[in-house]
Amino acid sequence: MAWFLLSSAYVFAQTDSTRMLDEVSVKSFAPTRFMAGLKIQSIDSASLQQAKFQTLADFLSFQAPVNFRPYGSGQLTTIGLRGTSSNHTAVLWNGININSPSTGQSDFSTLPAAGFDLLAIQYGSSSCVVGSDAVGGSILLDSKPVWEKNVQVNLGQRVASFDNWQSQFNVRLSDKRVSSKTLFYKGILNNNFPYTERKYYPIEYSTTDSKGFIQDLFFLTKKQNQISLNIWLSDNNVEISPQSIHTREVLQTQAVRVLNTYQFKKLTIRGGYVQDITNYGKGDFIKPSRTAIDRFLIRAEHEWKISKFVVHIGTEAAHVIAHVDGYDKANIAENRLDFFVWLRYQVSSKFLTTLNVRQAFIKSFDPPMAPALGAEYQLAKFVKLTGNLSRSYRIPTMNERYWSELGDPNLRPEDGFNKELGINWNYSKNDFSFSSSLNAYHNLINNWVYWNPETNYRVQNLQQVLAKGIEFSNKVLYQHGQISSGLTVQYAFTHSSQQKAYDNFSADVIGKQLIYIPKHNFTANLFYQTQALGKGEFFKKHGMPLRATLQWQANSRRYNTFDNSKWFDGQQIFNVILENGLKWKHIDGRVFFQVNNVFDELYLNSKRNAMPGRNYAINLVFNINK
Amino acid sequence: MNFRKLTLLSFVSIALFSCETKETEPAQPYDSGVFVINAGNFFDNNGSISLVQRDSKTAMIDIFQKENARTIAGGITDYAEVDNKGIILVDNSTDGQDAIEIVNARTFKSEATIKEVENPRNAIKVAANKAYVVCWDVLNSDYSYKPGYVLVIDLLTNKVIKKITVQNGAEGIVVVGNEAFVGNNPYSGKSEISVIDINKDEVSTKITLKGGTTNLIVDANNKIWCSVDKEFLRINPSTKAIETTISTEKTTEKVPGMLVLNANKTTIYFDYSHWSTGGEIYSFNIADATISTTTPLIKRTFSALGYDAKENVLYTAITPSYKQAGYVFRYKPTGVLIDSIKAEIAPVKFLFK
Repeated sequence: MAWFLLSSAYVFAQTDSTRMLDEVSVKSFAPTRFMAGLKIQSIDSASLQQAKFQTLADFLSFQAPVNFRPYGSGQLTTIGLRGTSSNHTAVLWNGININSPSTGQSDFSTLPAAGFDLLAIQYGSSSCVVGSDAVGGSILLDSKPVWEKNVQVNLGQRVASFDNWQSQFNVRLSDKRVSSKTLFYKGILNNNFPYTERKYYPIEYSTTDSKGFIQDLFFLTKKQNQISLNIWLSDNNVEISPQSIHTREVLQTQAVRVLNTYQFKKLTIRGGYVQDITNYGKGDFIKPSRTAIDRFLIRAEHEWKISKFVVHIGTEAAHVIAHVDGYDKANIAENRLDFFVWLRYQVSSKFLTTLNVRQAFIKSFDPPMAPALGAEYQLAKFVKLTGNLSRSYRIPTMNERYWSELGDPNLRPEDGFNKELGINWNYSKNDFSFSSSLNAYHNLINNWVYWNPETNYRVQNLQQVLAKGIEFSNKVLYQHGQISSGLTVQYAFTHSSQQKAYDNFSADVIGKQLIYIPKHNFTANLFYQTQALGKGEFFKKHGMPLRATLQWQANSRRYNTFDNSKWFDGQQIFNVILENGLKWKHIDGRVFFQVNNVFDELYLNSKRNAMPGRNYAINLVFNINK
Repeated sequence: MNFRKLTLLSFVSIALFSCETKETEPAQPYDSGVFVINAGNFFDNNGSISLVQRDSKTAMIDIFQKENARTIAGGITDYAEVDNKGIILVDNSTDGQDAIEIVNARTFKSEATIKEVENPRNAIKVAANKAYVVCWDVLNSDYSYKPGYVLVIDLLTNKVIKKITVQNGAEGIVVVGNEAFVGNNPYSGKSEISVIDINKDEVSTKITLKGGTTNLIVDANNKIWCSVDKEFLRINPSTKAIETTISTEKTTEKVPGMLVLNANKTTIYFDYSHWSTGGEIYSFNIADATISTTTPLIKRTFSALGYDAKENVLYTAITPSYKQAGYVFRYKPTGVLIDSIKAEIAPVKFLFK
């Protein structure tokens, strides 16, 4: 059974911006194997290591053409993939969707980059595999076991501008049968900005206190069956305007996520429990508005391999209980049931197809059946063509269905149809390797849910959105002896707009770019790594490579009104990271020095307050590896 | 013509001449027109002021941004002019970030920013170079109102010179003679009008009502009109007595709001609406004994209502959503639509100049 784990790791650990489906990955259990033709960007481990103390929001915005919408430094940050809104990206933690059932989204400022061993962005619709929400794409966060004798202790401390502090303690223990990872993390962002405004835009004063605990435990039986337990507890406390009890706003979010998996040969059974608690209040915070949602889920999957076919079937049942202050009923419980069948057919060594279908059931309304057809064809030695057709859906959030007076229990699910084509080019010569990809997509989403001001913000399935775009990704790597260097450049053109008239004034909105989505988005990462700084005997023995990284993110204007009458100007931000260290036998110590927003660019968050200017961070990391 | 007469004449002509030189001073871009106060969307903090020229079919967008190369950092609750200075009340979604922007009213160039203010609602001229700004203060954690206050602003120094504490949810102000009358938000639990002596900047007395009112206007006879729930009240500012109470019909949930007067201040136009069923515009004469709401003057839900006394045109505004630009609809006083002009996010008030 170990092979599938290693191979699934292989799929993720690739540094290529697009996944290669080779013989090894075919054997893995990862659901991405059934996503032929879809673009999957895996984040390499060196980048993850640098981002140890960052949130996924801060980190991913420099890694991919993804739109994050921050409400402030250390505050709620939501994602937008491929021209869709914040509830159209599924966030999967070890295969289960952790988006809040009440809002249908995840706060990326509470997701620590250090929490996961494997991180990937999957672009485009994948509801057939992932389920609800995966209309614009999904974010895959996974834990990976290590099956070799190893003891690893990491201690990390970050000191940053504005009196911001973060600490981590991580222990990994493993042998051939057991693999464990324990992580504690804590961050205190005091955000003591030396200024109250930047170029007349106020800087909103806020503090963030976050802590979390992650435990991943994998156990391999003698018969190579696997049992695993994943626990993730997190607690986040944000205070806006904390300077006085009269002005402050408090947002507390707590999550408990537990997942238990049994793999017996080709059968996998999972049991999961997720609890999300949110308290929001002002001033003395005596009677905050409260949201508490418990989810229990059980999933069973089985896979068969019959010559060139892989057949994977599964079912998932979930029970959700919501106590939300804004709902009419104190308690709302619902059951959800999903069935899925995935088929993978390796027609020839050059030609791969997948055919998947999922049907979800929820009492009183059923989402549409979601089929998908994907194909990948190796046109030439270095060139591969990809294509995918899929139907996606989003089950309206519980807020959309049950919010007092404004919600509508009879809303229909959003229903999308995504078409995409891609071409990948991979080539290496001497010390260089190149990979490029070009993807184009067309995603039409019907029954788009809208809080309609015409009906005093009652929720309706009013809109139809067409998101279309082109993504270009290019990567060059150079490696010669101890020197390596690389450049990754990504560009996305996104046009996402409202298609259908729904009231007298919608003419001003039709065809206009959706809010917060820039038409042009660029990211670039350049790194250079060389051997130890000094040449002496000491450095030969104790030196570690010096790595310098330049990150760049730029985007064109982002509108914040439906009729595009108001906008945020385009922006570009540069970060620089320098990394070096020393080692003594099993111990190494590393220093990361980071400068964020090097050119002090003024950029605004969703509340039109200024984000911080140039700021600095020093990370100290000690590793014991035995 | 004797010498005395001649000197008098020359004095007069000098005076006239000097008057003329004053009139030939170069015209500034914001000397006249209709200022549209766009509240913006609360959490987008994107309030703005647009200018509609009376003979134009388009609005000049975000004039503060145009003249100052920066935008207002928040929503806008009111704009008032006092002796060639403009007072913009800025309400940011974050407590502690509200402001009063003071501009040159003729050029709209920023002159000062006052930060010590929380939830400003109305600004008004009370004397030469002196303004009152009515504020709620920050809300309590359960969204109830603290006691409000009135800031006294000296526009020669652009500084707050006094803070007068008034009732909770203070909102709505008119000035009659040497007194200012401050109402309050009906949701604040208070039912009064604070009377402030403008010379002393102190509350001199209070008028007790049956509910809160923010709709205060002063008619041709210098009487105050306001509405409380479904009732229109006429108050004598000298005796502080409620002289007349006229109720509208009692079958619907609609209540009057956005009271405005015509040019000679004898007709009151008002919006009659309920949040879920929408609204209409009606009018009545200040001498009327009853108010009819059977035949609307205009059947439409508006977010702003104003009367341009210069050209006798009713200005209304529509907010299709807080995420797209609103429109100004101009009507004849008879309710006949003249035209419409695109403004900005959530137009809520007008200032006619």
